[in-house]
Amino acid sequence: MAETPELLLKEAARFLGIKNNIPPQLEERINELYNILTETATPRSVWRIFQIEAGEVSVTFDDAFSIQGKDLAQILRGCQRAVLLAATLGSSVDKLIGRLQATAMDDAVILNACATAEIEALCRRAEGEILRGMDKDSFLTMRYSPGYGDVPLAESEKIITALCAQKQVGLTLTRTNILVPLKSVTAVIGINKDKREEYGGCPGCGLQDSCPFRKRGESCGL
Amino acid sequence: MGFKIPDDRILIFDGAMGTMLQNRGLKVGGIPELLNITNIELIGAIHKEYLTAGADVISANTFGANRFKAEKAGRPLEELVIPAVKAAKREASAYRNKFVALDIGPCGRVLQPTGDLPFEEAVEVFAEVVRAGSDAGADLILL
Repeated sequence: MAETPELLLKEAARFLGIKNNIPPQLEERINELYNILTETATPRSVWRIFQIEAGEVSVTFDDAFSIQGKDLAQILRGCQRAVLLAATLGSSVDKLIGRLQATAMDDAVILNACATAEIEALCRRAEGEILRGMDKDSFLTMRYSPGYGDVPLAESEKIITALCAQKQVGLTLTRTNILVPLKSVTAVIGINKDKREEYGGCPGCGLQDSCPFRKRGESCGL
Repeated sequence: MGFKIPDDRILIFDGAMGTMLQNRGLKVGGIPELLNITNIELIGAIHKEYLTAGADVISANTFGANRFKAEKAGRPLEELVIPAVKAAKREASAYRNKFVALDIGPCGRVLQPTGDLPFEEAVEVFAEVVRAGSDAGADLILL
């Protein structure tokens, strides 16, 4: 499902903390910067389906390696298969944000928000493609990334290695496990036959008590 | 033996190592270079297959051997590099005019300012692989 530019623009505004009534001047600037972002980004993604076994505190993939996380194991309980996904907007976006941070800080903040909206959209597009390749009665659980809940950031390395994501999409880690390029995602998504409520939205989210969106009466949209 | 590309000859390189290892049971996410310590016979057998198939240059199982990987594997870098080059040399020596390449892949970290790897450290990361590989007798380096 293609997402309209208006929707992505609203999403970028939301990441800037603006819920409704975007001032026209700002809306125009978001629009301009979103266009610059789309021209600059080189979006790429790679994924693969694994056989999994969800334990108590970790999930094992293809009997070969495990990703730690109690919440993740809980979400994947009942799933026989899961997708590992790596997606990135490419390093040109990092360079652009870095340049704007030195020359026009306000634009840098806006472009950063646009890039966050865009990487999320890229992940949703990938999820759409994954779903298209599966049986009609299959569902995807929520997308769960290292650094979220109790899955350590360091677990990203296993996803990058398992997908050869450095070679495939140019994704690497810093010594402190930050993804490079910055506007990138590594994630685990369970595949299941029955749709449980906690597969999307706030009920299954470990951050529901401290979420800034919820405090404002909204949700992050995942 | 010194390596010089012959004017009158086309040199054939070998194929991939990782897929050969996975076909022989290396698990996804496993460290291929650890096999240089734990199962060097397997690495030698793969080199032999490529040589038998007609490869003139075989690449040592060192593509991912660098200090970061070595740290993760809990082994000194030299233990990953030296047996790999030596095993390839051993197989190549059974033939005439075959060469061994020290295979060097990306180190997995990105240079500053995009990433967090300082230039000087990057130089050292690659230099120490080159030193170990050339000490072990590699004929050439494949980048």
